[in-house]
Amino acid sequence: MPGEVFIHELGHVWQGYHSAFTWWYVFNSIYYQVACGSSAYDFTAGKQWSQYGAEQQASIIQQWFIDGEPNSGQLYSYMKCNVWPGKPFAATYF
Amino acid sequence: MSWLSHATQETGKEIDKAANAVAGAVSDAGHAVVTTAEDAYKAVRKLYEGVIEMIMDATVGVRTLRMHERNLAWNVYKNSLPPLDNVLIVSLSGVDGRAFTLPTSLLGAVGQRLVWSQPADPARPIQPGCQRN
Repeated sequence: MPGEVFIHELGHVWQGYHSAFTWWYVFNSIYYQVACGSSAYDFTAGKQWSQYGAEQQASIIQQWFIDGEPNSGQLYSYMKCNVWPGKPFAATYF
Repeated sequence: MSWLSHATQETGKEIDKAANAVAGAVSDAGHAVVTTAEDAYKAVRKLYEGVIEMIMDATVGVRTLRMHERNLAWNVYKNSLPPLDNVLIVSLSGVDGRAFTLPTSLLGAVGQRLVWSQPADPARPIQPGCQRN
């Protein structure tokens, strides 16, 4: 889908902006790509936002965008509770 | 950091692969050989410095976000992103053409085949936003 990679990469900009350690997502991404390969991007919705790796978080936002930016559902909960408020460690309420 | 201790147990090949995989390993800059976790850090640092150097030397194309990209970013992220003038698109791509993003004051770089359709033009002037980085 046009723009989905752009949205995914902006997810890393978001992570850098809202992290105390700006480079957190770079090293997190390294770790999980070494440990998990391409599955570092895979996720199963339902966990707390902070439990996901950097690539998984970016993929969640990307998937919400691909799905047409719905106003309900688990992915919307991440947008509402974490992404828009800029709170990576806030609880996600489903 | 636990990932560091874990990474030191990996083979040099795996860490080399990590350095290339992450941050995207720009083909022009990511040529360091990595044998330890510390080297992995150095490789990422070198990659980072290489990208910044290329931007400052105007050997890669750099631009700020276009209006439709700003609108798209706002639609998805609302006002949770840093000032979008600080997000730059660079005509570099990572391994296998993958997009990557590096922070400076915040540098967003996306593979040229995906977003940046024009080839890098060495004569292209550096965008004003780049000077702040």
